[in-house]
Amino acid sequence: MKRSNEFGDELITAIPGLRAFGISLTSRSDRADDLVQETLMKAWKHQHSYEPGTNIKAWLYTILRNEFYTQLRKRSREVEDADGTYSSLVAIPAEQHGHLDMADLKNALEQLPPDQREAIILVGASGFSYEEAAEICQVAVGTIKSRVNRARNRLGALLNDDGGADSSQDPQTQAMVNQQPSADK
Amino acid sequence: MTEKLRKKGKNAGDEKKVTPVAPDHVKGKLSDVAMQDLLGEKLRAYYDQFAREPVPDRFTVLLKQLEARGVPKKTS
Repeated sequence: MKRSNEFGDELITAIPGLRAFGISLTSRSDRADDLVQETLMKAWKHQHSYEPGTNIKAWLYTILRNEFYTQLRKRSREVEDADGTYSSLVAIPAEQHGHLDMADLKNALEQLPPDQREAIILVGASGFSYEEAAEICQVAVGTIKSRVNRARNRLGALLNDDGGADSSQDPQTQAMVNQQPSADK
Repeated sequence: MTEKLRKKGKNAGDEKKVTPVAPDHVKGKLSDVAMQDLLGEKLRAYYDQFAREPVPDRFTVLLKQLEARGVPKKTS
C-alpha cells in the first residue's frame, strides 16, 4: 500500500521531464501528453518489473520512447489528418536576439532523423549520460556517441547556415540598392 | 576499378578541421566551437522551457485513479 504511493510520487516527479522529452520528439504537445499518459499507465501496470533503487527515470523514458516508435509506425500507415496537423504544434516564442532562436532550433531538430534527435535530446538536454541514453535507446554506447556527434554536426550546420539569413539584406541586394542609376552622366 | 570504389567512401567534408574561435565582432557564421557551445546551451533551454511547465491536471487525476485502483497483480 505504502509502496504504491511512493511509486506514484516517483511518477509525478518524472512527469515534467517526460513531457519535455515527448515534446522534443514530436514537436506537438498533444502527442507528447498522449505519450506521457501511455507511459504512466504502462509504468503503473508493470511497476512490479521495476526494481526499486534502480534508475526509474531511465526506465520511464524507455517506456515513453518505445511508445513513441509504436505510434510512429501506426501513424505512418494512416493518412495525416489535414485539420489536426498544425493545430497543436507547440508555439515557440520567437526571440530575435542572437544567432539562434528557439524556433530555429525546433525546426532544425525536426530535420534530424529520429534516432539522432532522441540521442541529442537525451544526452544534450535531458542530462542523461551516454550509458543511460544507450540503455534507454537499447543500443550500444558507441552507437549513441556517434548519433550524438552526427546530430551535433547536423544541427550546427543547419543553424549556422540560415542563422544570418534573416538579418538585414544579403550582399547582392545591398549592391543593387547601392547601384541605383544616379542621374544621367 | 577498386580505386573508384575506394574514392566513393572518401568524404572530404568529414575530415577533422580545426577552426579557430571567431572573434566576437565577426558577424555571420560562428566557428564550430562557438556553435557547439551555443547549441548545447540552447538545447537545454529549449528542453527546460517544457520541463518547467507545471504538471497538467489530467496527470494528477490519472495517478489518483491509478492509486485508487491499487497495485496491479503480477501477471503470472
